[in-house]
Amino acid sequence: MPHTTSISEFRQRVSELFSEAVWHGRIVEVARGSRDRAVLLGITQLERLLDPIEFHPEVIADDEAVSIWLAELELWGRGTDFGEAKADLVAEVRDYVEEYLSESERYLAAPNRAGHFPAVVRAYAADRSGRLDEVLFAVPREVPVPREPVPA
Amino acid sequence: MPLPTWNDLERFCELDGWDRREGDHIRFRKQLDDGRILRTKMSHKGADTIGPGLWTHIWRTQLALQSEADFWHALETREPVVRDVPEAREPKRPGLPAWLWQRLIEDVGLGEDEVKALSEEEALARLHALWARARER
Repeated sequence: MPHTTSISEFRQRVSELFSEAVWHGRIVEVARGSRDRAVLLGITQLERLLDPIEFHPEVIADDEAVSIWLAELELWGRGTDFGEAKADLVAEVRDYVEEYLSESERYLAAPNRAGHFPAVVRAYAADRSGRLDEVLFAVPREVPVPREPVPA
Repeated sequence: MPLPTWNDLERFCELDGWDRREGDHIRFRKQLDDGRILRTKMSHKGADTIGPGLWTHIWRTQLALQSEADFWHALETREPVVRDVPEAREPKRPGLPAWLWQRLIEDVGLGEDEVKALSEEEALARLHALWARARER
């Protein structure tokens, strides 16, 4: 069981504890007083933690435009074709994630937004790794996918 | 019920007291008394009219309206909407999952017009047929 690190110990050993989190996957819990607690977690571990969170974007084709609705974050992108709509949605997700995380106290208190938090962090972590597009448009796990790529 | 234009949506947000933010898109945001935060945006790609599938998501989820009539009523009366406490509703999905759309284009080799014409069941059947052929090889 990992022990809790006090804030003063954390200050003294920050470089060592950072390396333990990043290189060895250790969860570093830091406490200030008896109530305030935070966790230092490597980004790889964070991505593992968030990996089960999936997105299910839905394409809606109208006569003159293609739209993609992302129910998990209640956002949409739109364009004259699928590629343009997809790029618009990715930009919209980035905008929302930035807004959400910069006003997280407000968004976490909103009854229709609090539940978005895991998906927001999932999108944030994926974007930091350059995989936002891939994660948003991944084939869901429930869909059987052949082991090898299929030629067109 | 008619379909609104993007300008109708913009006018609605102004009448309903939403905050406006301009950047790559014009975006609107409103916080309701019950704490809910609503967000929507404008788009000027393609038609001036909002398509029926997207419009359903916008009025139900983003504008948090009970019905489309509330939207038109606000435009007619120039009064903000009175919203009830939300109920759990599951709108019928009017489109295709994006992963399926992408696989039909990239793996099956269909054009966008062909994909548009397929129902979700037909689209899945096309993809499953391709995967079945791949397994037989």
